[in-house]
Amino acid sequence: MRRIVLIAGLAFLYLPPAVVALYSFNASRLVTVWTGVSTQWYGELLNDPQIMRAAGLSLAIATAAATLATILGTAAGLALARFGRFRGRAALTGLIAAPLVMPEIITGLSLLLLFVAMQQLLGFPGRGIGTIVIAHATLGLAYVTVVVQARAAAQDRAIEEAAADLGAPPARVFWAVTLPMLRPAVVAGWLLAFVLSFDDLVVASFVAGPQSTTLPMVVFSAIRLGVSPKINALATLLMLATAVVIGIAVLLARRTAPGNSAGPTAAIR
Amino acid sequence: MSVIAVDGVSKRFGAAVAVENVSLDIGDGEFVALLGPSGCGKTTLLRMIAGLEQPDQGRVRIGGVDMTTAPPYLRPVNMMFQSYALFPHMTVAENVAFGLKHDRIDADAQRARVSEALALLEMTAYADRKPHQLSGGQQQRVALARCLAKRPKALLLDEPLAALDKGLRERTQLELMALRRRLGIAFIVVTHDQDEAMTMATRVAIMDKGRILQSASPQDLYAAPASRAVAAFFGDVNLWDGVVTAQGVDCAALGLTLPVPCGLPAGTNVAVVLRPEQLDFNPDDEIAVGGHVEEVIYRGAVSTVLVRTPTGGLIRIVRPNLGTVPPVGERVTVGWRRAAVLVLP
Amino acid sequence: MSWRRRLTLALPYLWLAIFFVLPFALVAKISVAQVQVSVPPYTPLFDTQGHLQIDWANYKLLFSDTIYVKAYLGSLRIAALSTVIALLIGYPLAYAVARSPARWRSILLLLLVAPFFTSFLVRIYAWIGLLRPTGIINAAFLSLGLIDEPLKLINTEAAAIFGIVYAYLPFMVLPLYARLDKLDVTLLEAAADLGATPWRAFWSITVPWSLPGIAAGCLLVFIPALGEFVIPELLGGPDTLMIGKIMWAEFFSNRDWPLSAAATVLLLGLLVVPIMALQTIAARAEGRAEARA
Repeated sequence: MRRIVLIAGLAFLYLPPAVVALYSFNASRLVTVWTGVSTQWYGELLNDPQIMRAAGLSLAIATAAATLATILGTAAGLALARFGRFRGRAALTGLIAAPLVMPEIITGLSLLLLFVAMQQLLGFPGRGIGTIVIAHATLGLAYVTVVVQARAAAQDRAIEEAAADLGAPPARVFWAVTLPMLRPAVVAGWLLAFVLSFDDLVVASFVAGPQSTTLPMVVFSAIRLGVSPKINALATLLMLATAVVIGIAVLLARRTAPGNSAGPTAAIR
Repeated sequence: MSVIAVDGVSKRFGAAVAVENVSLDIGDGEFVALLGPSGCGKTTLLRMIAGLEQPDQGRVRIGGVDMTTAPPYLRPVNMMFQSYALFPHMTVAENVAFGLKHDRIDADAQRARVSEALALLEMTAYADRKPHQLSGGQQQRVALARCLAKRPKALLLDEPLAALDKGLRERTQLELMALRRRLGIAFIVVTHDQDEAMTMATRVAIMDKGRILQSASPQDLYAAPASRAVAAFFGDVNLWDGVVTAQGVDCAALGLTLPVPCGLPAGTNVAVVLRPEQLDFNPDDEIAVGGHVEEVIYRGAVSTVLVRTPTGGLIRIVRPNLGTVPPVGERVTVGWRRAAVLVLP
Repeated sequence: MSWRRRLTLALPYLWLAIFFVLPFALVAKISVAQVQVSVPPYTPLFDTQGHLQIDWANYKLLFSDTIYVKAYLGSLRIAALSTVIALLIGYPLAYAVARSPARWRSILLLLLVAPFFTSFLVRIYAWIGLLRPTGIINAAFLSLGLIDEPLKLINTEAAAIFGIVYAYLPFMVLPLYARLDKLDVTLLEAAADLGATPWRAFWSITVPWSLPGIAAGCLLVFIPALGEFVIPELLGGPDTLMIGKIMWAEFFSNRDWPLSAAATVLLLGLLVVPIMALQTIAARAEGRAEARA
């Protein structure tokens, strides 16, 4: 019974994308007729300048947004795990959790209105890559915070006290002990924030400028036109890439915390 | 001159008093045990010496210098944590070298100190391992080496044996004693185990509810406890209520008046203390009480015999298992010398 | 508190204040403006004489025009149905994982949650390929002779609900699993020992125990589903009315920013209670974790 439930559940989750991956190797242009194995769609994909440009842009944005989110989220995670019951703790917890569940359309629209107002008043930031990075960093911040907080809370405080006792001033305690011990969580948080940014359509659509078309936007407009073998190929590559990134994140979370059931799962718990 | 002088120190956490008006002087080369039940303030006191907590009142002097508000990284004392607190991402050698980076000594001297400390703890062969590749006992040696490489004026140890199993614990006790004698610096150890304190320490400070009840050598604490609480906490004991009379001390549990002088006015409530190994089944002794054996607890080399007196009192007697231990139910007479009785206010 | 700590706290705090809280104030402000052809395309809060310009027309429109009312009701209905279906699918899954041998648990959980991190669009796209008239399901049924003409599987409300369940199932499974995993099995053994059938033990012990997980999972599905845009757009077709779609259209097609802002304020209004409930549950769970530690 337990096995049947699990197999049915996993089949429900994984069969549809598996079909996409399978048909990405179909030689036929007709997506439902199987005529033979071919990698021609991957070739076409790699020679599509629009898709390649969008992919490059998305990678750059995701890298920048994940880095920013990691700096902010590590600070927030440390504060929540280590500073005890400071004033405004509940408010910070709420503020960090809210973007996790807030419908993207709300976050996107309200951020756009902010950027427009800022542009009017301050002259920056102009809509484009910068605004997408800021928006995605705000979303990713929550994920990094949760992962870092969980790890920092599980750490033995005595290790940092020992460093101070052995003569290390606070700055060295942080750089030589606290941060290296948090590293797996920080890296896992970065990877999660990266995936989140790389995958986002709605928020990016709101805050993007006319020149900044990200990969999900290209995919979205292509999907609206219907199913095509080229999009099958792109979808397969995207799934493969995220699977690899998540795999790395999980391995990192496991390596230093045996028995811990993986960073990504902590992130949406 | 004392290496550590704690003077009138108090510490509160919110409404709870952790340490209250504690003073303690520790001389060079002393092995002091802070002994008490959990929550008595012994760890807080140790952490205030290390600088990991700030006292609300009082002063802490180390090597004659007032260090009450000095941060931990400026204090010439080092602490071995209960969890050892080894840096998991560094090798054994890197752990030991960590503290030397701040000692303004050149790289060669640093390396020499690391090898010296590792050799002292017989951990040279493990220099390149990570802490998680070591057993609990080996981790503890690394933690010790890491402290000692700093050549501290005093070594602070927080429950150093709590994480070790029984066989290793005894060996480590002996090693710590030998180490202290060899290095000649003060050791201050926090423990809740009276056997541990008695074995290792040259002086034991018994703490309860944030205060030091008595601070003396183990022999003095056992033979001459200053209070009922110390007598009850330190060592196996018979402890009964008594009232001072003109003839001596009236003890209801034993159903007799003990002919011992105590210099207190008649009518004063006192505690009567008798160590169980001072008693024997000898009706001809200076003081003797009849009763029957209620229970015999076999403990290998010795047995503890519980004798119920006609007035309902219970006497604990410890005898070696040399064929002289009476069986349960037998009527016996328990005797002891007058000098064995301690009367405490 | 030391200056280092102040700085550590100030960084994320300021960031979230500027980029998460402040925008909502602007949304509220613009929701009482009117659309005009300008950059930006709405009237300012103060006119040239410095008078406050507040216009409730957007809200009046949202409450009077049936398309908006229908869209809000449609969103509520679809989100609620999706949540219930996700619970019915997610509970057995979470339960099955929690009852699996310990060494399988984390890998099974990861397999159930991992899709959340793979491209959202790709997962919805996969269903388009399966459901459309010339898609795999219809093709299979036709060739087997089960049907004579393609079923209308895509561009229906059912497809949108199905897509939401599929996309947000990990959100349901995780909190349920987290709770079920902590259930003390000896409670069930005690119940059995006292004569309870497994079925009765499930309903009188397991289900009450998992209630916080059920609540958290339902809220985690319901809240984002209420504002969902991509799924109804791609799977729901033109007849599926959800507020996310309307907002998107008003914003990008009609460029009516003030009306979109007002619609956002109303949507947020619907979400205040569920979000507060979710935060309360999370705070309680944290309190429990602290009490244990």
